[in-house]
Formats: sequence, C-alpha cells, structure tokens
Amino acid sequence: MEINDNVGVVLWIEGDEVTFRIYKDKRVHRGQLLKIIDQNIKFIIKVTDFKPETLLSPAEISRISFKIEKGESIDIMDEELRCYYTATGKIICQIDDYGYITGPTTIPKIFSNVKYITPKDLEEIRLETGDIKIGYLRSGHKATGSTISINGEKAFPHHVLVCSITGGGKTNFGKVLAWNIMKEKGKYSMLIIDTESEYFDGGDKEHLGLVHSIHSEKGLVYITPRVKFPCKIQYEFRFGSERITRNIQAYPLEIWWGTLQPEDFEQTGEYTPPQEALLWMMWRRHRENWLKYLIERDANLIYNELRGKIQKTTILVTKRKILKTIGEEIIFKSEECKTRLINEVLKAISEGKVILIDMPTSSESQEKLVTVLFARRIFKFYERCRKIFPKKWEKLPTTLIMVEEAHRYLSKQALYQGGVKRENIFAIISKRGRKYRVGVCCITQMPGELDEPLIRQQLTKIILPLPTKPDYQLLINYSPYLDDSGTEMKTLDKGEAIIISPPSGIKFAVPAKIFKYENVIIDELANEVYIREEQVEKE
Amino acid sequence: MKAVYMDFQKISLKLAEIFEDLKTPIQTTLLYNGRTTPHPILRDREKIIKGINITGLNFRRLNKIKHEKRVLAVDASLKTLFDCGSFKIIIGKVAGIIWKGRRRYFEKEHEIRAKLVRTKLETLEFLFEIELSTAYKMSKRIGEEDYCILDRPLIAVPAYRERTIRVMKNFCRAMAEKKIRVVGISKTSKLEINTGESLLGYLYSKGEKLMKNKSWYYHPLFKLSQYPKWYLGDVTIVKFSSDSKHVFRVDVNRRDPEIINNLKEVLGEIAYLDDPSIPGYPYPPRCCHEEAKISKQELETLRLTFLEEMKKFKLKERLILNTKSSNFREEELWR
Repeated sequence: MEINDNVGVVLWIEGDEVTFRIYKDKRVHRGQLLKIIDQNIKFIIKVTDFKPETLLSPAEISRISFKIEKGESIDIMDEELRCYYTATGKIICQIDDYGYITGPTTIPKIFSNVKYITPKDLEEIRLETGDIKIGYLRSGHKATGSTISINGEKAFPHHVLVCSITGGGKTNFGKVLAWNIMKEKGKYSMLIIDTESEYFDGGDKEHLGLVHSIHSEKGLVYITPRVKFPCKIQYEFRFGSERITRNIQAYPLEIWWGTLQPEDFEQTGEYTPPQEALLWMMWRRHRENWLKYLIERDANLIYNELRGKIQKTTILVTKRKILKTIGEEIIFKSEECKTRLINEVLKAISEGKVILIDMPTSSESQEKLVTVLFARRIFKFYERCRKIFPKKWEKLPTTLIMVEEAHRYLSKQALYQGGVKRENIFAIISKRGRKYRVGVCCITQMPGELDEPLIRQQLTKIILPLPTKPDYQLLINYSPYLDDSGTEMKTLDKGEAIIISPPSGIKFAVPAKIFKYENVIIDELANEVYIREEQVEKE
Repeated sequence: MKAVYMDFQKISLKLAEIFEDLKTPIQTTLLYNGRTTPHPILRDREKIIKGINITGLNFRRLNKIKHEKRVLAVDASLKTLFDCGSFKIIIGKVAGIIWKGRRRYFEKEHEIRAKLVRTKLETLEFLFEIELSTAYKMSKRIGEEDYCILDRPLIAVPAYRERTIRVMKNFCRAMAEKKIRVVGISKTSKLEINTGESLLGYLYSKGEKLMKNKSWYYHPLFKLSQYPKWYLGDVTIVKFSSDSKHVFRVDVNRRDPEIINNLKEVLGEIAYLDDPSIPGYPYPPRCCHEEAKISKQELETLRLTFLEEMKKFKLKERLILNTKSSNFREEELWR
C-alpha cells in the first residue's frame, strides 16, 4: 500500500456520501478504504461506486467513440480537463486528535485531499484488536498486510451469520473459525456437524482439515462412526519430509434412543402437530422407552392404548417417519450405548474444545435430528448452569453452535406453520442465547429465505460472494452499515467477504479477504517443524 | 397566413435567381472574358471590389502538420449587466490560453471588464478592445512562428473609431515584427460572390464535388493589392477536416509576408489542432469560447457587486428605476 499518497480531491459531500475526483494515474477499487484529513479530523471513507464525468456532449462522445470503432487513433485535447473519473464513498467513521472514533458527525471540506490509508490509520480504526483472526483487510481484490479480527467474547453471543453461494468459501471460513477457537485454548467452544467430511482432514488431497493443526490434539474432539469406542485416533501425515502424528480424542457416533425426547423430533420441523402430539403422548406414558415402544409396538395397539385420541393414519405415518430417521441403528441405537455421547459432548464444550461430529453417510433428517439434539442439550446446559450454578456458568467458555444450511431451520417456512409461529431451538438461541453466552453461527446459501427478525439478531455478518438480488437485498434491508454494499456483494470473488460486527466494534462494512485455511496451517506446520528441528539440534 | 405563403414564394424565386444564375451559358465579350463567371466581391462603402474568378485550380489539398509550436487563442463574451434603455452597462469576459502543440501550456486568470455603452458599435468596440488587449499582453509569452488565433476576421471596420482601428493595425504590425502568426477564424461571414450567393456556401458546394472527402483550402480570393486598407488580413476559405461539414473564413495577417508565402504550412498546423469531438474546427479558439462564457451565477454576483458600488455613490435606487423603465416589455408583455 502506498503511504501518504494523494488519490484524489473531494468534489462534493451530501449526507455521509463523498464524491471525489480520482487523479489520473491513480486506481481506486470498490470497497477500498481511504482517508480525508481536514482540520485534524480524519475521515475514513469506503468507496462504493464510480462515475465518469465529462464536459463532452453526448453527440461529441458519440463521434469520438465512432472514430475509435473505425480504428482511428484518438487524441483528445485537454482530456484531463474534459474527462475524468469520480468515485463515491461513504464516511464510515471519523477519528479526532485523541484517536477517539465515532460515526460521522461532520464533513470534510470540498477540495480536501483524499489519500490512501496507512497501517497506522488501520490501527486507529481498530480492526485488529479482537482475538478471532479471520482475514486480511482487502483493497479491491488485493489483500493488504492488515488483519481483521473479531472479539469472540462479544461477537459469539450475538450470533454470526455466514452467507455465500456454493463454492464461495463457507467451509474455509468455518475451518478458520474453528482453528481460532482451538488456538484460544479453552476460552471458547464450538460444535460443528459435518456431513461432507471436510472438516476433519480436508476431505481430499488439496485441502487440509482441523486435524492438521498443532492445536487439534488439545482442542479437538472428534465424533465419528469410524470408531467403536472412546479412544485416541492416531492421524499421520507428511509435511515435506517430516512425518507428523496427531492423537485426537474420538468418540463413536452412537446415540441411545432413550436419550431422545419428543422436542428433538418436533424441532426438526418435519412433524405435523398431530404427529407431535403423538410423540408427547408416548413420552408421557413411557418416558425413556417411549421411542422404542412407538417403533416396535403395533399401530393398532397404540391406537387402542390412546383410546382413539390419535388417528391410526397419524400413528402409521409417524412410525414410518421415525423409522426412516433412526431405524437403521447406525447412529441411533435401540439399546443403551456404552458411551454417553451427550455427556461427553457437554463435557468437551465446558472444557472449551471444538467438537466435530462427522456424519458423511447420514440422511438429511438424521442430520437435522443430531443438530437439534445437541443444540438443545448445550443450550439447556448453559441455561441451567446460569440459573442454578452461576459461578460455574461464569467459568464456562462462550460457545458457538455451527448450523449448516440454516435456512432449513430458520426460514419463514420452517418457523411458521399454518400461520402460527413455532420456534425451534435455533430461533430460541438467536433470541435468548446471548444471556447464557451461547451463540449460533448460521451458514446459508439462501439468506433471502431466513426470517427477517433472525437476520437482525445475527449481529456479526460474514458475507462472501452473493450475487442474487433477493439474498443480498434482504441482508441490506435488515442490517446496519450495508446500504451501499449491494454492488460490492455481487462482485466478490471466492474468499472475499464483507464483514460487519458491531459487538466487536466493527461498525462499518469492512472489505476482507478470509484467510485460506491451508495457508494458515502450512505456516503453522512450518513453524512446528522448525521448532522440532531446533529441539533436535539442542539435544 | 396566406400573405406569408406568397412572401415565401417570392423569396424562392429570388433564391432561384441566385443559385441558378450560374447554370446559364457563359457569355463572353469580344475579348473572351467571362462576364458571368463567379467571383468573390468585397464591398468598400459604395465601391464593389471584384475578386479573382473562382476556379477549381485554387482548391488546394490541406494536410495536418504535427508541431509543438505555441498557440495563443483569445476570445471574449459579453453580457448585459443592466439595461437602462438609453444606455447599458455591459460585462465582458476574456479568456486567453496558450497551447504547446496539443497540450495546454499556460493560462491566466480570465479577465472581466465592464463598460457603459450607448450604441451597438460601442459594444462591439469594447469587445474588440478587451480581446486585443489580452492578446497583446499574452503575446509576450510566445515568439517567432508561434500562433495567435482570434475568433474574428482581421478587419478594422471603418465604422469603428479611429482609436480602435489604430489598435488593430498596431497589433497586426507588432505581431508581424515579432514574426508571430496572427490568424483570424470566423464562424460566420458576409462575403459573397457576384450572384449574391454566400461565398462560403458556394465554395463548400464546389469543394464537395472537386475535393470530396478531403480537407482543403481555397486561395487566393483577392489580390493583396485589392484589399481596402481596413482589411488587415488575406482571406482564405478552409475546410479543416474531411469529416467536417463546415468551412470557415480564415484571415491571415497581410502584413506578414512570411505567412502568405507559407500558407499551406500555416493552415496545416492549425488543422492539426482540431479535436475529435468536433472535427474541422481548431480546439484552442473553441475552448476559449467556452471558458469566456459568463454564467448566470457570475452575472448575478457582478450585479450585486456593482449595486454595492452604486450604493457608495448613492445611485443605486436611481439605477434600479432606470432598469425598470426598460424592463416593461420583458416583465409585462413577454411573460
């Protein structure tokens, strides 16, 4: 980045929008941060749009362009006077002499110089003060040397929304987030449900996973059908000529039917009210064995037992649905399991770890059930702790539950049935989780489907490439600081993002380039190998 | 309405006479001199000066010549500050800019002058004087073989005062001494040929046939000795660009023999200064024309400034009453 270089001159200001002329030999990018210093106040502006200005009439422009079309070379006299480019930028903050940052309350003078921003300026904006480092400040499509971090303690309870089209970098971001949490050693915890087997070891030769990080041995708990009992999985890989081994705590993905409750099924959104009523009736009569009873018992007998309060068809359909979800006994077991998985997960959450549940062969309904199941347990655990054991609760790490395809749980369709709002656990956490330091990290390709109040509740937003208008327009409508970011959102490349996080103090839309997880891990591994070699030398 | 149609018919017949006259066979004298061959004419009071017969041989090809010479262009515009009926207070703004080749080289702050005038002639003289004054001052920054382009023909109209005529003559003489090439480019001209048709129109139509899709100039129109004294320039008609649909009257300083002898080079170097946005007219005078314009805001500011000045002399109210006396037409009849 150029230091103390003039980019342009202010031509006009209206509200918080600045129009400036771009100097001939300078280039400015959409989303770029620039500064204007006027009378000891530093205004930071973010470029939102461009417009050419010309003194040429439409007829003259037509004539010139026609000549160019014919292949003639053109030399316009006084070209810089008669044609120039302007950019519009939004004043995102102002910094006074004392370094105090506020929103814009005044404006710079016309004909003030517009300059490139320096690393010192970025320090003043305080984009790097958080503990969760997620990427670089972006200038156009280039990453600068400055990093952007959010404050996990403040941001997570207010929830995180990650939006992008397919292939935009959501999984990469998820891995970067998880890596940060592992690195913080007990300060935060996170639950990830991975249906594509991308998080553990990257899924293929080109990608790396959480296991490759040096922090995984102490920070990662792996729940997978690959193991039959609690153990430490030994994972070996090569880095250059070095062989590296990771020993990761692993548990089998087995859940006893008896631990499932009607509310778990209810909140997947796949059951109608009569079916839900049946589930509750079974629960009230049979408690831990309710599910086994419902599945194994004949429908007629159940019908008789309930004295016709539930229709036979309802019973049959409900049994079929439940069997489809849990009948194969791959994840959900009819007999009590040796591992009390829910307890182990809650324990790992309390210890500030990343819990990765790997379920590559599961169906959508199984995935939903597992997600709801653990989310409910975690939230209830924190809620109970805070209400009954406040001192214990204070020592718990702030936790984040990652919800993939969040529109399946938080869309208007999922939350409203027959015109009536029926909240699920994620909606409840979105509303009340902050009080208990439980947050959701909603990941979705279709933010346009989400219920609007929920968008407002997710205060930290990571917007990766999102070219579809209904999606980005809804985000703009229900989020602060994104008014002029529509065009930028459409033109983001893979890995580029716009970040807002008022709880972290990021009160404007920051252009970012999310760290590439593989690059982060390679640096970490290089360092690890180097330290190892040094130690060997010392010995 | 019927009366106006009859008038239109009469005008059409008159135009037919003008345009069709040349189609009649050429009548010759015993000495075989063509009497109806078209030629330009100049009116010097009651005298009519017949110029050189128009012939295809005098249409000459014009090629742009690249150069880095300094080109001074000057133009001025006028606006009425206050119209008091029997007199007006007018404002003139002069723009003078120097280019080096095609690059802007030097410009001074555009001067604004004011004057009380009673007649149209006084107004024109005022405009003339402020233009020449600026041209003279700025000519100190240019030198031999550089150009000074004015947006007017190089004529010192006899109706002007002696002083004004002297200023123009002295200017041309001084420029010739410095070997600065003074050129006057007019966007309009009253020059005509013997049939009454416009000289520019006639040459343009002829040029389109003889020099189709080419840039050209026509010279000579008159012998140097034929020009009256108040004609300071030698007249050529120029089509600067093959793309252009216009021809212009270009006067070159008669007192500068070097310019006359190198007319092709001079016109070629001026043609080089055209702009693709408006081909066929050199950019420097056009730019000065734009920059000399007085905006509404400027005019209002100057009005207020002048009224403040009038206040000091306790003449403000009187002036306003005088302006109201001449504004009835605008205020009441043309609403």
